[in-house]
Amino acid sequence: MSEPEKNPDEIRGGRNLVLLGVLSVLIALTTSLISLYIYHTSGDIYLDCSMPEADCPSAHSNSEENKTDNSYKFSDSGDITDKVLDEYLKEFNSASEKLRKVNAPFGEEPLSDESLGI
Amino acid sequence: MKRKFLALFISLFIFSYFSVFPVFAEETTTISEEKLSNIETNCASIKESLKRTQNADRNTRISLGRTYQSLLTDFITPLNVRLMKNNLFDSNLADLQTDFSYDRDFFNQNYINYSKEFEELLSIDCKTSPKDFYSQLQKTRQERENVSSSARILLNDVSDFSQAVTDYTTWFKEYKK
Repeated sequence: MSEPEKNPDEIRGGRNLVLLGVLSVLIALTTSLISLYIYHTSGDIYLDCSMPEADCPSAHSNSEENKTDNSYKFSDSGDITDKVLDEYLKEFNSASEKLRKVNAPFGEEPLSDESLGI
Repeated sequence: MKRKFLALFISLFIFSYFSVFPVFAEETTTISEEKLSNIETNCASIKESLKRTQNADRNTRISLGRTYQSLLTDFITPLNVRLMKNNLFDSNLADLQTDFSYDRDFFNQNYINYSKEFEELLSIDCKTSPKDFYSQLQKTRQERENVSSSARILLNDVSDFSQAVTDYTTWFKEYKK
């Protein structure tokens, strides 16, 4: 008993389907690699908060720090009065205090010969 | 005449070549034998210490970056927009906003450069190539100094802005009288 011969159109259709699948995978791989390359060379990788090793509270919507950070936002509409300016200045100085708390950021000590034991 | 023209042409060529492609003397790193030996011996602990520093730096950058962003979008920009809407535009405050935004981008770029040098440093095997490692360490230190200096600049920008708002408030109270 010999198998019934397949229609040539069916065979071609099957091949085209496989070709389409392979091409789609290749295109997806190529574009992903290009994206990763750009992500790395542009330096965005170093500023990314979603990296697992980055302890970045903004990446976690429920973090306490996020809640407190968003507590004050100066509105860009409304009147300007003495009171508004005084309150603004108070809040601005309080928010900028966080920068002063970071003592000498990126100081030379951690990379010095002594610290590294060289 | 032809020779003079040729000499002039050659000298112009040499001049333009060195103007376009500046020649740098190769950087020579002087490092004592003792230090090379220390790098080889303590290679593992040095790498460990560097990784700790890298993590600490990442968190410092994130903390600073979020504060810079918050100051710009929650305070500096809305104030200038609101002043403009009330026809009380102040060019000094607007200039300070531009400076802050520019300096923040500069900080980010410096941090990216520093991180790239740091990655390069971590990729060098300090046991087999201590000299290359030390040379890269010096480059990384230089980039770190650039990041540190741009953080100082941003802190000054914030102080300047705070002072400018104080001055503006004083002027405004007089103006309203």
